[in-house]
Amino acid sequence: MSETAAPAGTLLEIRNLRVLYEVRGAKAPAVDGVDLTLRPGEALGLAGESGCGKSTLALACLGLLPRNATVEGSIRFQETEVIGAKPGRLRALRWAGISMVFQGAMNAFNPVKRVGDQVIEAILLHEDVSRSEARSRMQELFEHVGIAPRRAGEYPHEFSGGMRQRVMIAMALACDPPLVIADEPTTALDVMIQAQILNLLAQLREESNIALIVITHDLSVLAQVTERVAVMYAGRIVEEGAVSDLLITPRHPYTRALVGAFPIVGDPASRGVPAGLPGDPPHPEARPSGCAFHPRCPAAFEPCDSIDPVLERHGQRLAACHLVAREEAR
Amino acid sequence: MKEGTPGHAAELEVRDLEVRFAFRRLFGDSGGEVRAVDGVSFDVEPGEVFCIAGESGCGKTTLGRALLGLVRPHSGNISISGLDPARLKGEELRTFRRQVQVVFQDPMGSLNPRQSVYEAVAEGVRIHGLPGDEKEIVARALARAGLRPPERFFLSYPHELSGGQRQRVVIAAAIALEPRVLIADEPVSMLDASVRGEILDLLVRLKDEVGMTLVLITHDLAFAWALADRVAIMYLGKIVELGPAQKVLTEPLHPYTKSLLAVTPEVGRRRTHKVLTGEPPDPVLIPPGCRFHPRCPVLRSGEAGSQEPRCLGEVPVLEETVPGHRVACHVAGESRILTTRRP
Repeated sequence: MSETAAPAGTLLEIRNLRVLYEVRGAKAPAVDGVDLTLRPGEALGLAGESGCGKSTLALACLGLLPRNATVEGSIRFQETEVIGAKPGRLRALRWAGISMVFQGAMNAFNPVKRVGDQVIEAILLHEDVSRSEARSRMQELFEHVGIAPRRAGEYPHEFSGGMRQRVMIAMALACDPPLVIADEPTTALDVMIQAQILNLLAQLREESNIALIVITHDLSVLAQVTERVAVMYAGRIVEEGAVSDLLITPRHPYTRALVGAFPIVGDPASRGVPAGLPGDPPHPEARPSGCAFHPRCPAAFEPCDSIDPVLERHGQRLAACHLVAREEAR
Repeated sequence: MKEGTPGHAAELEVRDLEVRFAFRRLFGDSGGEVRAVDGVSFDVEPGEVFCIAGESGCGKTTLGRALLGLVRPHSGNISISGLDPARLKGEELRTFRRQVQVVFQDPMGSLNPRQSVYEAVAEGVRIHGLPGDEKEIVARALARAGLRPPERFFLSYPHELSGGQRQRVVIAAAIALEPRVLIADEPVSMLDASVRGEILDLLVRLKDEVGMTLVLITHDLAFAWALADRVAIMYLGKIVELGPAQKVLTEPLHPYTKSLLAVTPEVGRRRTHKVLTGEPPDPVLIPPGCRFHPRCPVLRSGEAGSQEPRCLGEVPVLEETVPGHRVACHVAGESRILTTRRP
């Protein structure tokens, strides 16, 4: 979809978000100053390694953070400020405003209840409709995501992983939310099924103008369903830009390393072991000085270990990196 | 043979291997048999990286377990430098088990959460009674697996390690026994993208250092492309295509291989996937003829032409159509013959 297709305005606006977890008496930031804007109908990919804060960011949008978390900054969804909102307001927001597709669809269902009934319950819980209305809505949703409505009477164990993920997506769509957040929606799935789910997400967006945030460490899935990608490292966005542009010519050394980790079949340059990234991401309580990525960065130079780079605009791209800034200055 | 020399790596020979599982339904008495591996033959050269690829349920993991001697084949032969696990007992079987090691997908599932890293690696060393100083063997294996200095990890527990480090411990425990074959079943699919490269690099490096033959089982053709010398594509218990990775993955002959390649995502490239329609493969209900025929796009489009009756009724055999490149498909085999006949 082109940039102009989405209507003007802002659906979600995150400003200077910080999420701190209390660990052994000290407060460690899992999300450390994130700004993000999402327009209605837009699809954004949030990429990064485990522990970079991408899932915490999603949970913060839904007001689902655990008790030991402190949230600072602002998350505005439509007219609602999510941070500090009352429980009742948050309940209304979840599902009807923002819904979520979780990783590992196997664990999200009650094994002793029929799949269709579980979807009906979700609808009844959030919308003021009769049981029979909810039933016909469920059947509509099943058809929408490519499941024969007759299978509604089956139990979760009778569904394959891909089918269960489809039910999860049907549930997320139950109340017609303007925003769906999908956390690793295809990670545990086979290639063929993964392709089916990605096709489904792309098709749903075309049909209903839903905004989508896809959280994943697998950059190869993002090109299929998103327009924009934000790459996170150690709780911050380090690079952001249009998906094809960013994945084909990544500029931040971290994004380059992530892209390089995916070999491309048929590309002679991909024969041989994919370039990895030595070391582990830093613990939130021990953020390195300067640029948090500098201890692992193959291109680190003089200012990197002392001066923390800020996220700056370079043409169509945002990057927080001294190297990119230097390249731009030339 | 001495460890570390090229002669240490073993050759594999699999002939007409069949693995069946009996099953019974929970209610009613209609039991049956699943042919998980159904007449598979291939050879792997010593020191080669051989990749077995396919969707879930294609039998790739069962094949791997048969190579380890963990499931007893219904028929056929396995020979790993002349030894068939199904025919071994006692001390011989123990030697075999030492020589053929495995790395599974989930390192957390492979490690005992209450066992320290040292114990995890030393356990196998003790069971197999390896000569030499145990501490030295464990330290060397950990260092080789990239956990340096090894002493720092001796008393760590799995929960204290990152996903990549855990997989390194599993690999250390395997190579401590100086195996001649390493079977890696989706060794990186649970790991973060940035760590995958390192673990794969480690496996390939150790293959040469220790002198091992590497059998890589995966559903990800991108990794097969990166690492494998040769690739076997499996569908419902049979190998449908087999050949050098360069050939199979860039000039695929079988329609199934083509479909798998079409859905393999590429970073930075958007495309609507041509996803196979029809029921996903079910080893309980194996279709007659070519078992791929209900989903075959070539058959569906009518391109199969005069071969169609054979697709529906005759099981295609794996034939060498191009030197070193074999395919089990009536249409691909026939078109090849036609092109070679052309003046």
